[in-house]
Amino acid sequence: MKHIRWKAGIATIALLFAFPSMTVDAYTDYTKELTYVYSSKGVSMNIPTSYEYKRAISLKSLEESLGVSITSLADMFVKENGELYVVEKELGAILCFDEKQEFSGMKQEFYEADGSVITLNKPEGVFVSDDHIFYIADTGNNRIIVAKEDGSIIRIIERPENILGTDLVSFIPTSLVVDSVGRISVVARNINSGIMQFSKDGVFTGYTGAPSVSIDAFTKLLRKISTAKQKAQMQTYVPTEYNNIKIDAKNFIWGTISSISATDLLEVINGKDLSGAITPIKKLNTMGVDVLNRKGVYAPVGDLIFTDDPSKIVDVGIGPNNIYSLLDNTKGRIFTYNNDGILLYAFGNKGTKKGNMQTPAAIDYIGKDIYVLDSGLCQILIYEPTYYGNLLIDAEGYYDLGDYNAANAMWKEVAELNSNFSYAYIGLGNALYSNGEYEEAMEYYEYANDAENYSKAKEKLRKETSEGIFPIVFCSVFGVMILSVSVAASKRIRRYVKGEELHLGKGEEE
Amino acid sequence: MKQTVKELRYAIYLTRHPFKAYWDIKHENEGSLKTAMIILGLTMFTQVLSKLFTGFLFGGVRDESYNCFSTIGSFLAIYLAWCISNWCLTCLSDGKGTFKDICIATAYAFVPYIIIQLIMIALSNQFIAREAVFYNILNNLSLVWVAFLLVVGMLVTHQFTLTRTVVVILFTIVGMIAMGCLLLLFFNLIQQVVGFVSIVIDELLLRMSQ
Repeated sequence: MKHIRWKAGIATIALLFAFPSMTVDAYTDYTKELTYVYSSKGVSMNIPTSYEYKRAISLKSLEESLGVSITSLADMFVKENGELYVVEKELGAILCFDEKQEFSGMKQEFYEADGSVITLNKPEGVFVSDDHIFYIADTGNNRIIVAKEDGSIIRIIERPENILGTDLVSFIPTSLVVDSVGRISVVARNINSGIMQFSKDGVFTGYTGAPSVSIDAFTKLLRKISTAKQKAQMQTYVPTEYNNIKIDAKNFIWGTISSISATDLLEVINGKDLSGAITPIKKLNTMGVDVLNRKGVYAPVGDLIFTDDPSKIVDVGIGPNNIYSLLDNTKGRIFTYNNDGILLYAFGNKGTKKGNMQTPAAIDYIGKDIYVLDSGLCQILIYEPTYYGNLLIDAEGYYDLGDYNAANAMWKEVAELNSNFSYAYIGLGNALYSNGEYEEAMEYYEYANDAENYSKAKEKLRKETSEGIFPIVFCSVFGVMILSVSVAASKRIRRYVKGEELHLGKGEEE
Repeated sequence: MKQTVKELRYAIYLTRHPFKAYWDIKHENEGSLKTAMIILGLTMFTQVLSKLFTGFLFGGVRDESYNCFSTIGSFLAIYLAWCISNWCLTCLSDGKGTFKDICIATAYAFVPYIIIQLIMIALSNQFIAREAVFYNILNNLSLVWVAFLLVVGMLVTHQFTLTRTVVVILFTIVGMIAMGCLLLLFFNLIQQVVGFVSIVIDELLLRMSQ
């Protein structure tokens, strides 16, 4: 018995010694990357880790069993049930993964109705519809291939005749999406008129979401008075072209634009420009109008602080609860924004550490997990939300659903975990506002420096209070008026009765 | 005391009848330097109040590190610079006002600012963002009124014509800027001299200790 107690004592001491070192380990966990947001003044602030590296699906490991070399991955398509499709550019193949994300096959050859075999040449994009029809941007062959799962070709879409009204531009499709009614939207290189749209039957119907070129009045004047030679020397205003598109469940097309210059971007950031005239991300409705919400202090553009290497947004991942993530190719960052365009968290890094990327090419969500395709390392990196990340996403979800009490509880916890995150206070304010507690909401809005919402809450509050006060104010004002008039009248009447002359205006008497 | 209250009431009368009132202040003993200083104090007090209590939507200070002495100090500095600069100029251009007269006339011009600003503080806590235009109108009105009173004050005090007053005021502002520059230069040079002397002493001490 004594022996055991002695042992227990040693164990306790050992534990005591072990504990400090354990806590130190928790702080120096190098697999966790820095997570940050930007304050309303554009200063980056560290926040709790929102997403953690979970695992990677290595495509290099398939080389041996397939007998091919996998070197350059161009695109990834993810289905909600977890199926993955990856485009290998050099090989001209689509690598398929099933719902459990096990490798299920490689598609390299497709068959025409007459039995002839067609192969792909440097494909860059793939889309798989719900009924497992493959839409492949066969970039090197200047065509789009629509094929069934077994490889039999349904349709080949070649360069449309009426493209831009000229024969000079070739058709180089790089990215495509298909909406729920089968319309195909295509991003093609060298075409800056917007996203090309094809009907279900592969007929070119026109462009949508053309990036607008805005020239200010001064430039217009300058161009008018300058000679042709001067004009030639001037900067040409070429609209930027999309480099990638995605489609969400509501058929909104999300286009990313990666070719924005640092000066243009700095102008947007420093001017707090929320117009979306220059933006790396657009959310287009069926009319081709950008309907992306930009309600934060800064528009969603990625990093706000940089010298001459701005974030190059190469892809967008559409997540749950109306959040979306932008993938930055410059620093390997993932910026997640909510429905209002407010940055929730930015994380990720380039490098060789576990969980780092080298050349991120595509991003997608399965549930809350973020899947990033790294074309350099030939692997798919999977990140999962931490407790904090989950809180944020759920809070957004509850707010969207209208469950303001649940959202309120979550925002409270977020604010406790990260008291510097002003958006949490806006969230708390929103929840209170929706519950009709305007005065409390105003306090949170003020704390978060959100004048717009503060004003909205104040208006409601004022309306409420003035509705209560109005009858009293009205009656008292009216009462005083009647009283004073009657007093004045009675004075005059008394004077008149006394026989004094009635003092009317002199002008009236004459 | 009774006299001061009477003079303060006259200051309010001045906002509506500046020509007569400024004349009376100078020649009929209707105002005094003491009252002028009270008005000046009230102006600075209103400024601090508006910094502290203006509604959130109209840029009230929420910063806990706010120091009211910066507001008071900068206002006093500008007031003094104005008075000195104006006095220097009007001495040269046959102005009839003494330095005391200038100080009084300038201080009395701030009466409408005090009144309107106090109303604005109350309103700013009731207005919403959409009604900012009314707030701005009031704000501009108070400034225009003060500027008008200042012009009339200078005109009456110095017995100038209108054009001459305006020109003098413009030159006064130039003078204020020049004074600021000179002060900056002066302090900069003093700093250099002090720095030089302290370096020489350091050097001497080092040599002696060797």
